[in-house]
Amino acid sequence: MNKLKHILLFLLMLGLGVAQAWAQSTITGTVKDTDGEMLIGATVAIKGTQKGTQTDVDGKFSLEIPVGATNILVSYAGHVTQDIEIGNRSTIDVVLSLTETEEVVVVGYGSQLKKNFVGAAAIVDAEAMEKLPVLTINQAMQGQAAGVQVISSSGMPGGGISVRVRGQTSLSAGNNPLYIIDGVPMVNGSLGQVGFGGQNTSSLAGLNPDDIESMQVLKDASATAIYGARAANGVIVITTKRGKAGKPVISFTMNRSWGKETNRITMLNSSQYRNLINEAKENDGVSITPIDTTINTDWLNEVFRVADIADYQANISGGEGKTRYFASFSHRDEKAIIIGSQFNRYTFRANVTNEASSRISFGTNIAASYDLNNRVNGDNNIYGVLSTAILCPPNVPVYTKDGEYGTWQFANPVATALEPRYANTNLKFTGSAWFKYKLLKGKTEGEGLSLRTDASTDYNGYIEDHFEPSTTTQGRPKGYGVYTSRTIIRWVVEPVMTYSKVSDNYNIDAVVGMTLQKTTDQQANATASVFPEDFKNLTYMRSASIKDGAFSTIDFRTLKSYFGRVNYTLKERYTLSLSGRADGSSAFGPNRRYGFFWAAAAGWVISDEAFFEPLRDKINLLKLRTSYGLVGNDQIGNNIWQRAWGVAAYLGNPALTTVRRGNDDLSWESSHKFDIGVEASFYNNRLNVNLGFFNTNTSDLLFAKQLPSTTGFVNQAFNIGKSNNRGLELEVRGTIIDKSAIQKGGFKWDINVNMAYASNKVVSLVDNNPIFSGFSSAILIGQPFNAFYALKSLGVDPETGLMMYEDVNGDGIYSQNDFQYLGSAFAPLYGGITNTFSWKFITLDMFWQLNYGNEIYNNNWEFIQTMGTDAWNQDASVLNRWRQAGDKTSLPRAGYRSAASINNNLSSSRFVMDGSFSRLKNLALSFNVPKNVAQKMKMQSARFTVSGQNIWTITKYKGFDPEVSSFGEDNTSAGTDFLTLPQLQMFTLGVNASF
Amino acid sequence: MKQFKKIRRWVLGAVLAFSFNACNFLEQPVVTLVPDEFAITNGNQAKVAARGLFHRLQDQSLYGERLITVTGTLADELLWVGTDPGNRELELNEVQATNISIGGVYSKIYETVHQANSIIERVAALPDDDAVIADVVRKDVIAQALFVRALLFFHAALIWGDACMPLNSNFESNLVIARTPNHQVLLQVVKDLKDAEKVLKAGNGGEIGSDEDRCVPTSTACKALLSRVLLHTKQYEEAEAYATEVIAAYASLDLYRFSALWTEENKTSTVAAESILELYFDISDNNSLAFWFETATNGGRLEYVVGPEIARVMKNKGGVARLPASVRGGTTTYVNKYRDVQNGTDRVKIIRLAEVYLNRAEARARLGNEIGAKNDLLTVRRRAGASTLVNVNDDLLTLIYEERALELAFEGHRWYDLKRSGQILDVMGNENPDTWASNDTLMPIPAREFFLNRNITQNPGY
Repeated sequence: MNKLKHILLFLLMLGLGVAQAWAQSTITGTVKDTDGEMLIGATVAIKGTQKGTQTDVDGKFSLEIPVGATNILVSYAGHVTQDIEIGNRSTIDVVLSLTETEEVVVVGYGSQLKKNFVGAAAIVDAEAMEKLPVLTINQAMQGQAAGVQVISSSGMPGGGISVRVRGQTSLSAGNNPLYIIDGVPMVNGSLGQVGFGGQNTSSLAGLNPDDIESMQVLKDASATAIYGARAANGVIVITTKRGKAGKPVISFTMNRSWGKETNRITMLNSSQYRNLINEAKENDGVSITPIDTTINTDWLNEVFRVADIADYQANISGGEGKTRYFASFSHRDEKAIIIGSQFNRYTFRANVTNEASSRISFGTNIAASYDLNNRVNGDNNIYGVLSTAILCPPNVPVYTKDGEYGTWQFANPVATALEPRYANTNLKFTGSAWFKYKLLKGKTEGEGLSLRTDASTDYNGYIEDHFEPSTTTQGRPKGYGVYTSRTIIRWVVEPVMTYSKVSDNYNIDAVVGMTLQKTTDQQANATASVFPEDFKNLTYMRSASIKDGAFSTIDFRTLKSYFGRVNYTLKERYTLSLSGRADGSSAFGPNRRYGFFWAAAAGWVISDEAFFEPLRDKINLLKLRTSYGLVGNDQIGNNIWQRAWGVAAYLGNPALTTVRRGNDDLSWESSHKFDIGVEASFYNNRLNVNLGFFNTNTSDLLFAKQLPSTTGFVNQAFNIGKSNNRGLELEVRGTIIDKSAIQKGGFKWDINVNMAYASNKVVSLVDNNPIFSGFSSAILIGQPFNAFYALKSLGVDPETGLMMYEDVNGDGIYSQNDFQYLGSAFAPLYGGITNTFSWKFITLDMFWQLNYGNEIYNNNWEFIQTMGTDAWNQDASVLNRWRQAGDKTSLPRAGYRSAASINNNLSSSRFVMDGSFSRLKNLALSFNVPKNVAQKMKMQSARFTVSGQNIWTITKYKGFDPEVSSFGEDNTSAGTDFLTLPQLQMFTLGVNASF
Repeated sequence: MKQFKKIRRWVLGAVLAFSFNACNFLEQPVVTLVPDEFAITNGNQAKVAARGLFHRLQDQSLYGERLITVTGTLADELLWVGTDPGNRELELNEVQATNISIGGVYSKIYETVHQANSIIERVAALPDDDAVIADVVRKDVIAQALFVRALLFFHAALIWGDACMPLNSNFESNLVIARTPNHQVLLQVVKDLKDAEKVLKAGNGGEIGSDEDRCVPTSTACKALLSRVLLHTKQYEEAEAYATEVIAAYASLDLYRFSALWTEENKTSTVAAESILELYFDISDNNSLAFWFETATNGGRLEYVVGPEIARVMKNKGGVARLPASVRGGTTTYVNKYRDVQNGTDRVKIIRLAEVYLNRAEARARLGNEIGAKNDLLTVRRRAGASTLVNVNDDLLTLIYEERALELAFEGHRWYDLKRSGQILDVMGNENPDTWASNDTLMPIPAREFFLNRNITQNPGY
């Protein structure tokens, strides 16, 4: 108003006559974007006044220009505002270009300009993720971010996946990163109560990766300290898609895939099986009993099938005025490669934001998903489909002549796949609502003081509905039913105050806030048996004659925290960041309830210095950053500090038993993290390099400290030791060839490499003893977690056919005293390489994943190379066994019941193998329908894709698949392969169209 | 200025929001466990804690399975035909110190002993106030804990020879405890049982009674167990005397049908049973014995069948009543004493009258009372429907041990009996000529225990 007054005064002084010369006029025009699209609702204002108008549905405007006005301002959200001199024109057509948004990093409670971001974060390319037809967000992340190692534990759909950011730091506390989706800390982990072998499900399987707009992995202390006690394993911050201003865009995507196992092992046929047993008995002087070989079943062939996966996505997004919206629906139907296993998922999401006024804005993000997982038993499970298919002797028929299932010692693999019902459903609902009030406006939109409060909830309702009929081994004699339910509800309230100021010389932004979080975990479980099997439809417990058991329980966990962060940037090149969080958790005892976590970081944009000027045309960005801080890990059970008794029963009455010794001094695991890195961009961002070094010292490792049983307890929760993770991370993104700039549709080759070279080590343990785990895993000082620890095999004595081992202490006995470190499941080098070639309308993506230097304990072989049993079948590799003196082979002689035969099969380095692999994870050829053709079909865009997943694996591993972990996400015995379902090799057709 | 007022208002609001503090937000209830300090504060809780000892005995590593299957597999009683590689070691007497079954038995024994010691100490420390705990309850609970401790020390002494013997719940001293010589452990067992015997009420002599009489220890059970333990300490007079007292309290063994012991009849209190102490199981508190002994067709996993030599003797001499109730089958012989795969409610006999007869027979034979010994032996055989003829040339002790193998088969006795009789070297040497060594009469101290407490020595050969 003031300016206007001044102008008026000025005009008055000049005299009315002059004013007359500037008679009021009207200008008209249109506003378009660079694609020629009319922009509706663009603002056309007279500079220096509050007068203005908006373009209509045809993108046209008409505006009366008052006397003295010289310029108009044309603006539209997401586009560069133009200041246009009116001159003598009465018609002005404006073309607005998209704002070149400076890249930002979404961090905890805000976002920061990438240039001045001083933490270490990997930004996962959402576009690259979209090209992978995967089920879960974790799979989508695989090989896409430096320092983030993602390993599926098996090929089961919806199964557990281990995600390790900068390596494993913890033994028994969880190693999963914290997932924050639209500000909501997600409930993570397995929800099931019934064991299916080593395979867990993940509560994150309900999230649709196609809803993701951006995903950042926060790695160092500076980026994560604001999450305090939950941050030691890194934080994955995910933002889901939002609408953009403009007309609604409707997009459909369909993918259909067919797949088979990446690799298959070969088992003995009936006559080979008979010969082996006869030879074993003969060797040990046991009398031979005839073995019938008329039947020859290839069990693996019976249980594997072609997987068939259909995935449908639909979404609508847009924005009008001050409102932005995005809504999506998806459905996925995944028939796994193993018979009897099928996964179905439906997801819904609606995100809406509104700027009600210049001070008030609010929004909601609501997502719901429902999945139905018809599971089969797997892995180390005698009722597993694949496990029994491997072990079941070939002379057992699938069906007998009478049409009954063929029987052997354990479950018939086909019966155990097809007969039971293992219907597991998860209903997941996450919702948040936020309200923001700008207390103090700043000069620009981003500045000022605001208060924002988020209230959110994450609901998971998991139900296991199981029935095993008497046709299965487990269901004998008369059927067995299990029904479990588990409800985990988390609610979070977070008031956060932010302050931001930009001045010529410096920027400052600050955050303070508080978190109140409560998680309620409610479980119930019932079992029953003796079903009326004469009526095949009566498979629910209502019809069961004996109700075996029932329980229900509830568990609460709360978190109360205060946090804050200040970033100060001087002259856009020197940045200092300080952050801290005080966390209080109900999981810990009163003495140790609160923890304080903090970080400090500094950054220097060298390329902005004057002295850098001569280099700037080659190196357009050079930044140095470093950080140090302390973060924690609270992923341990509730109240395990407390010494307690539990209630059981005897004689139908309650009975108390000692449960745990407790530990009043139990405290958080804490990680001191150091990080230093350099970021550089060359040739106008054509080549970007990000190189970092990290060193993490974790102390107070939480673990069950082993106690001599004579104390009355076998273990005690304890802060037992220290670990170290250090390594180098490299990210290179570059355009190697780019002819598209010269000529539209010209050839372009982009490459994106991320690699980490790291070490992981147990530094100290409270007592120096190895801690045994899994089959042949142990925690050993000076070695990585998940070390393999057993005898060292010296091969087979060609004279006797017996295995020889190193008798370290020379006492003539092979015992645990002779165990040695035999490698570990830790891969020191891992990463991913993506090549994208585009030419005209065709794009070819090639994504390689690499995992190098890890070992696998092939426990399958310990079973299927026993050569001393007729209880189960053996691997075809045993055909190379030792048979007579002089045979040079790696496999010992067969034996049936002698000391020698036991000795031949001791856990040893014979079963430890190189698990390195590099894998062509995705090869995708897509065809983008030319824009003009698409428009003729009334479409904005259309894309057809043909792709293959896991189509080529280079590995020396001799089991099914090197990407394996039979114990799921176990932290001490990873990298063991035992009867685990291999990964899928898929062929996919995809269509995407938007209107 | 107006704007400042506004700011003040909002800042105030924010401060309020930040400090709203559900006072006990970090104090959340625990609904599944009892904090240690509230566990045993009165007589009723003490009784619940004592009952917990018997729940512990139900553990799979104790009477819920392993005390029976591990010892049976180590001996010639059971033949392992399953999948557990640990059982293969037991079967071939090639046990490693890492053997999981042996480790489990060890741990469960000492966890239970610890609970018994804790109960003894805490109950003794409760105030001398009838409102808190009646004196009779205090004494009874302590005596029950002593009984359980004695029973488990007995097993430890038999399995490992010299054994750790924690007599209190002190954490620091039990962390570094050394092994006590075998004989001393057995003497402690005798002492604990005698102390308990003085306090516990008498059993009902096999009359109709409630499960409480057979499923928790009585003074009769103390005496019965003493008659067994004293054979190991070679105190035969005392063994005979205790056995006689027990037998006197019961009517003749002839009254009880052998088969009734192993069927549902045993569980109904209207059937007079000879169990002096048996472990109760029910559908929600069950065991897996039948599961491991039964074929897949019957819903089991068939980890063990009857050892061929025992099966042969059983078929020749088992007796018309005892044979079908104990085993079944042809070339492969199955254990028949535990049949409830469905619900796992088969009760496990800790001590029963027939054993007391055989204990007395053995004591008498050792003392030279051949007639008395023979009478006891024949009492057992008569009920079994087996031959009551004893050849004059036969060694009476050998016959008694053979009778124990048949009568007490699959009840966890065979391996101990073989060791006590000295027959183990011959019997196991025949069964596993390739792998048997004299060191195999004792199990290895589990590797983890040996690692964790350097005061513990390992048994020779491991």
